[in-house]
Amino acid sequence: MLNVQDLHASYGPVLALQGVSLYVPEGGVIAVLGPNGAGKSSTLRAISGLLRASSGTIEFAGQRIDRLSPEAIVRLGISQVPEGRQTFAELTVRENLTIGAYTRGDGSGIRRDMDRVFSYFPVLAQRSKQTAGLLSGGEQQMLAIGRALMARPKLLLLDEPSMGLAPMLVREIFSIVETITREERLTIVVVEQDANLALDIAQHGYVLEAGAVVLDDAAAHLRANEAVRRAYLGY
Amino acid sequence: MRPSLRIIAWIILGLALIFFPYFETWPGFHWFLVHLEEQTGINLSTFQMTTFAVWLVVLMGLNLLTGYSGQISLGHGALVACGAYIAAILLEHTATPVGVAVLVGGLGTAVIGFGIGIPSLRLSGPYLAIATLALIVSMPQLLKLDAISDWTGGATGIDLPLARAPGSIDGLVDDRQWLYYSVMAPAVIMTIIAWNIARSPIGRAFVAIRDSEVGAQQMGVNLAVYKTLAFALSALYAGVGGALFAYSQDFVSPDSFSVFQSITFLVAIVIGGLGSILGAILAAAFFTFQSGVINRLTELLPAVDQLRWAIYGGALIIVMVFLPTGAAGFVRQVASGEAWRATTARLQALLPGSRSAHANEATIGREGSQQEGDSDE
Amino acid sequence: MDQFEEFAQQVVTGVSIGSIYAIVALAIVMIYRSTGVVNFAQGEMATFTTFISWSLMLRMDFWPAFALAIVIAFFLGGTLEMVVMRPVERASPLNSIVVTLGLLAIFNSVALWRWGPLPKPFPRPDVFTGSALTVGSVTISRLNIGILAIALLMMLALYLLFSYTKIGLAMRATAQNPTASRLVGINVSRMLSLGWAISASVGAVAGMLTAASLTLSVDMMFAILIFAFAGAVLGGLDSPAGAVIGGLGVGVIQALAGNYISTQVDVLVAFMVIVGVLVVRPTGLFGRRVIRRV
Repeated sequence: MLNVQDLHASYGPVLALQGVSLYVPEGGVIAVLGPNGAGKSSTLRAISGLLRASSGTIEFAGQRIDRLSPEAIVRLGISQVPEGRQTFAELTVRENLTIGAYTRGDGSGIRRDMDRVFSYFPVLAQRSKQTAGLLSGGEQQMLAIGRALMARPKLLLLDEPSMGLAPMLVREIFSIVETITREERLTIVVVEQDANLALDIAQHGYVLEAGAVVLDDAAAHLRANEAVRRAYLGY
Repeated sequence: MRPSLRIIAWIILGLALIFFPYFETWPGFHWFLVHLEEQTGINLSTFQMTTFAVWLVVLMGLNLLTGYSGQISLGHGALVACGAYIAAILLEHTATPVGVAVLVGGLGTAVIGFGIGIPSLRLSGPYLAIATLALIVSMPQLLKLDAISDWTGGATGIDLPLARAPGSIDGLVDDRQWLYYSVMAPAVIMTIIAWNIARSPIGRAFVAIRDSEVGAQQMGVNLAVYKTLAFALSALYAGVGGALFAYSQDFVSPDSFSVFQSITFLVAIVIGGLGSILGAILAAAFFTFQSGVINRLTELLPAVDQLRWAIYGGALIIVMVFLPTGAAGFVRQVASGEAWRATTARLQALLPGSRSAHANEATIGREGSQQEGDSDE
Repeated sequence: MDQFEEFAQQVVTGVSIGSIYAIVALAIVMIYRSTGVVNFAQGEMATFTTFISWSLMLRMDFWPAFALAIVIAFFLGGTLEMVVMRPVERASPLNSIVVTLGLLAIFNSVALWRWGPLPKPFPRPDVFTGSALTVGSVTISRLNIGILAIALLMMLALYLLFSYTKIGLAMRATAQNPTASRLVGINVSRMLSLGWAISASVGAVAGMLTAASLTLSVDMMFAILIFAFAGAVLGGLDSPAGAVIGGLGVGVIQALAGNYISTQVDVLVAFMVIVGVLVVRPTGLFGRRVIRRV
């Protein structure tokens, strides 16, 4: 479904990606692991169009998307849950979800999807009239995921969903994500510092270092891999 | 330019400034001045050069504030007015020597600038620009207040006696020449001081603030202290300039300082070149001689008079977008032979399709935000 | 007239003047919120479009010309954002402020060149003329009622736009977080142009109302811009509701100062308001963020 080939990109003079290739099959959950600054977030930003690739290709559902704007990419069915949540702090929870469906015109479908998001994250329903800035970190993460779902994506990009959250909360969010993946038949690419969690829900994983893929294997194999265990799993 | 060439250029400039008042008594130079004014509207008389020195001080200070520290004052004329009135009141009501009046005018204005600056400078962004704009717009009302009209002369302002050369040097210089020296000398001194400030740690802190407040803070620059210092310094310059203005024009009134004058200050330093001493000098030349040139152009094309502000406005925008270092930057580029390369690079960056040239640039936020800006400073 | 009635009369007068300040302040805040640019040309753009409406009114009735001028202002504002402001929008405030000053100079000068320095009588529609209304001994002219009504209507329209429409929601989202806005599919550049377009239209209304209450002249909006800035700072530069309340407040302060102190200090009062707010409460009455972007 998503095919990234030899992607290079940089922030001004700083090289971020130096030849990343990855393949995401339809319906799969792919984990992207690696240390800070390895290019994990940059990979997602390149896929969603926020970071322009200097060379390499990104193909989604048979179509080149590496020269498209983020706006156009959303319309094709890729939604990103950005690092640090980035909810609209001064909009209410409901408005945040409504704006998530900005690309859609089907009023009744939007209402149905909003109800579904509320059923996945009941706390958002309780707080639907509050401004997002008043939510806790975990609630904001749920809102960011909910907002991305409102675009009815085929592919969901999750950037560090566990960042700054208590472990309990992270488990909860991940289990909800797993449910959503199953029920919505979504394809997911998740970038995580916490490799344990990510490999729990993923079938396949990529390990990035210094802007390039250094390891690429089934989740179970990665778990068993000595180097990965020492570096990212901590046992 | 090689350093030795540079020193020679400065020495020639210094000698020219010292002997300038005598040039116009030479028939050949006199003929040149007359024709220059006839053709271009530029009046290079000794008195105009005196006026140039006044604006040099003011614009040098504004450039320290805006060009170096990146803060914007839209009402610098109000500070000039403070210095002018302080000096004029001292000269009118007391027997203060001119030098002291100028000094008090400068220091008094610095204190006033400090008072105005503190509240606006605590904040980033446009607050100082807004506050100073409101200040210059309300300045005439302030100066005309009945409560202080015994001192300020209300709407009529203050008429000062003409500047006279002291009797002791009678015959050596006439009054006009004396005025020239007594204004040009402080102007040169203030320029040298500004040059030294710009190269000192203080100047570097200013530039750091201009380039990025966050970055400056990380380098350990205390924003509040340095921003206020920049404003007080530029107020000092404005005050000295104002005092010299009052002394040299022997007249001040509320109408001497308009909003459009203050905006012209800004036009001048942007066109002259922000963040450069040479820029301030070119700015003062622009400010002093622009009205003559505009008048001359109006003779040729009547619409110019009314469209003068459109021309300045267009120049502001074009310089800001295409040549952020202004005329001074252009002069430096020509001197180093880089002008052609820099200009074509800038044009290329603006052409459609240049996106691919910048393809690797981060498009955080939005497209089209690439700033070539001061990259070649 | 007893003291209370005198006071009430001044407040009423102040609210009528203040409603124009409120509109201009609203226009300023709209652009500042969405792009971080303070548009010093706001007043001159309004004057310019008012001159256009005046030319139109020589050929047609008041209201069609009024509406047409708003539309022209809309396209003028949007075009300016795309052509002139875009290169400097995300640069330092220095660059953007200097560019808006350039625009100020250009609009002022072109209006002077095209329409001359003499003030022109500006038509008033019939509903604005006729006898003043009186409550007790407080009077308010029909024109002032009309201005207040148009101002309120426009604020209501903007409120509805920003609260209940998809495009309004997208504009608010863009102002808060451009990156996240792009990720939900909003064309951020288009929203910024739209912000300038709407702001210019709002300014045009203020310009036409000003011309109708005074006369049309090249410099008519300059003092008003200062009062509007005072209103915007008072209300909080990033708060539309604050802009409206701040603008009305400054109008009332001006009227009271004019009555009880002197009519010759009105702009000075605006300056005092700005400095006072910056000393006491830099975010203004309703503003949230002190530092927008550094």
